[in-house]
Amino acid sequence: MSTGGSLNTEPGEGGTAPARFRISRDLGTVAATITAVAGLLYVFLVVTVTLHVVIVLGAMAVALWLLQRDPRVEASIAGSFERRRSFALVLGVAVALAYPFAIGQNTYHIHLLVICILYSVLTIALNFQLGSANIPNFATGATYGIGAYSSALLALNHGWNFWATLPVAALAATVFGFAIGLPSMRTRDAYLALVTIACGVIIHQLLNNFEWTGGAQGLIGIPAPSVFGHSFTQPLRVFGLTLPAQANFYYLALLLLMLAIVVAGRLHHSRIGLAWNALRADEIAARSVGINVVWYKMLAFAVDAFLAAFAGVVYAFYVGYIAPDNFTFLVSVMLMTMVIVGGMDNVIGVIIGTFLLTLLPEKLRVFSDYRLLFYGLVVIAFLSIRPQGLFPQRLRRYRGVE
Amino acid sequence: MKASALRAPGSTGEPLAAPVAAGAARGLSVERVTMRFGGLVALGDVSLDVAPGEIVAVIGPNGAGKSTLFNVITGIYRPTQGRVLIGDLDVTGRPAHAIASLGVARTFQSSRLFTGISVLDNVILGMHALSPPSVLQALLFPRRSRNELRQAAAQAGRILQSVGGHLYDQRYRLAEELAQADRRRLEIARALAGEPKFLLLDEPTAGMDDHDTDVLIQDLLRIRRDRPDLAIVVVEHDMRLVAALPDRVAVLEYGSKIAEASFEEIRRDPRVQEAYLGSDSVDD
Repeated sequence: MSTGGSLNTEPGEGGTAPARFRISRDLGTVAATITAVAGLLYVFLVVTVTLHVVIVLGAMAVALWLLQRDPRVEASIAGSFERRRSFALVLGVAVALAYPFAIGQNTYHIHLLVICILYSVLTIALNFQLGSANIPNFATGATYGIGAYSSALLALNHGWNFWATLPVAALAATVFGFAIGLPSMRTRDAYLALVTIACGVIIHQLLNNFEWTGGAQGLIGIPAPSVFGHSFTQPLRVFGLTLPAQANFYYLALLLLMLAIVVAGRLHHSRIGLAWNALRADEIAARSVGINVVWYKMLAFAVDAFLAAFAGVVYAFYVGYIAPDNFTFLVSVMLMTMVIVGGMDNVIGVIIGTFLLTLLPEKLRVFSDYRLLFYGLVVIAFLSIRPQGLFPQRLRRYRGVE
Repeated sequence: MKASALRAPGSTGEPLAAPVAAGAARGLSVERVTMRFGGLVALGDVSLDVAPGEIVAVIGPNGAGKSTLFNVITGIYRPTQGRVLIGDLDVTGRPAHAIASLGVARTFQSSRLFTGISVLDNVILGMHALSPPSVLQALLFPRRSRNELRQAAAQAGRILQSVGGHLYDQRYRLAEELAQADRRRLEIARALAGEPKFLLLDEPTAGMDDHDTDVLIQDLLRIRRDRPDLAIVVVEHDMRLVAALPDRVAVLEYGSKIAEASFEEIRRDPRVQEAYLGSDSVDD
């Protein structure tokens, strides 16, 4: 275990031999972990033969089982990341930026990654509510849809460009977030879930039946965004290499995901995140220590809606075509599954869970009609190996109170 | 509702006058509060004054309305009639979090800790009453937010060291993993973290053995020494604690206050003996 000891308090000092050893060990651990995760993602992305898919899933299950058996491994890796935070950050971003080059010209794989990243933004948004504050919001699919529709309508009917629609769509979705938040304030748990389900269904029905939203056909021909004269429909040329047009959206989505991660991290590592955890545990006790429960719940709704809308806007401009069926209640359920499987209130866990469960159905295509059955089996298997989710919330530790 | 004989019952009325008058401007006052739930009168025309620095015990059989009184004071319930005053400020009907930030902290009969987070985080959360955090600061100035959290953690560590038991050594355990006595202590530590003016303890010795109760009494005596202005209201069944600590004891029965005086006088009051103490506990 790596707590205590004077070494721990001065991670920057590299003077003594054991300290130097520990620094290189930490750097090695971080680099190995990031490489392993990136490699695993690549393998999972490219495997097509069913037997290979099963082998990859089996390997993941065994790795998770080992992690569950000996919690020290996870603690030690997490400790290395904690101490070498900036190195991990730089390496992680570099790997993410370089990823499309590794994939090359396979547009299908890049497309899958874009969808994974957009869903990760959605699950991070939902995690503020479900993970941090225990608000079972089943309307994230609807806020996602409101973001997508409001930006698409502005672009199609008023000729707005992508960048201008972003803030307006986020604002519209946030207002909607407040609108579901307010009636939800008087309810809790299952009742709260019911209110949000109702709101989600209402939005889906409205999108389906209004004429100005295109009805069931939805909206077609949303123009692709461009930046500095470079249209996102054009292939991306970097350092003499050419990436398919999807890579434009990969980087756009990645930027959004980084924003979501930064927002999530900042809120989590502040007293705001702590207050959400308090009302997750006990609302009456939270009120008694001076936490304005209504305000914090509304805040969770607002942050969720804001980020989900961003994801919706990028999605709409990416696929160029949106319909009510992209934003159903089932989408919300799927997002919720991803948060729960990934690990509540742990951003890394939530992202891993989202990637896994977004890619999984693609890998199970051979089972055609039985796809969902196998999907369910994998979810159950992973949850029985890691009952708290793949990577559950970690205790906050504070420097100086080691 | 037979609550006409509640103020100054018999010989016990006189000693009250002085502290109440002195502390009226800064104290906590419950004025003729009635709390009805449907047909049930949980509190009938109950009044109670607590001056700064005072320790007042509220005793009474189960269902007498003691916890209801706490819930009315802390804003969990809105009283059907009557007022709650903090100093000269009428706080009746204000939300619980607003009353907490006016300096009223409490513990619960069945301890309500924040599960899923550490012991240390529980104490940090107690500081919300003092200074609520800012969202904009968290988003735009993360360094400042982290420093604020780190300072709060250091302060919380000091508070944990100051209470009895070995809470500090368990600061990174999950709150729900604590033993019963430590849960009680943690609730008190969390309440103290908000630097309250009034501390309401709802049966702090519930689930404690004799040794733990002694430690708790010592803890409370030390808290009183360290914070001379802190007023403590304690709902309690354990007569050793009631005998050791409070300046005054109020007795509730069926939602009405039937007596209020020093412990010595209370234990001689025949109605109290009949209603609550029973002859055994008076004479031991």
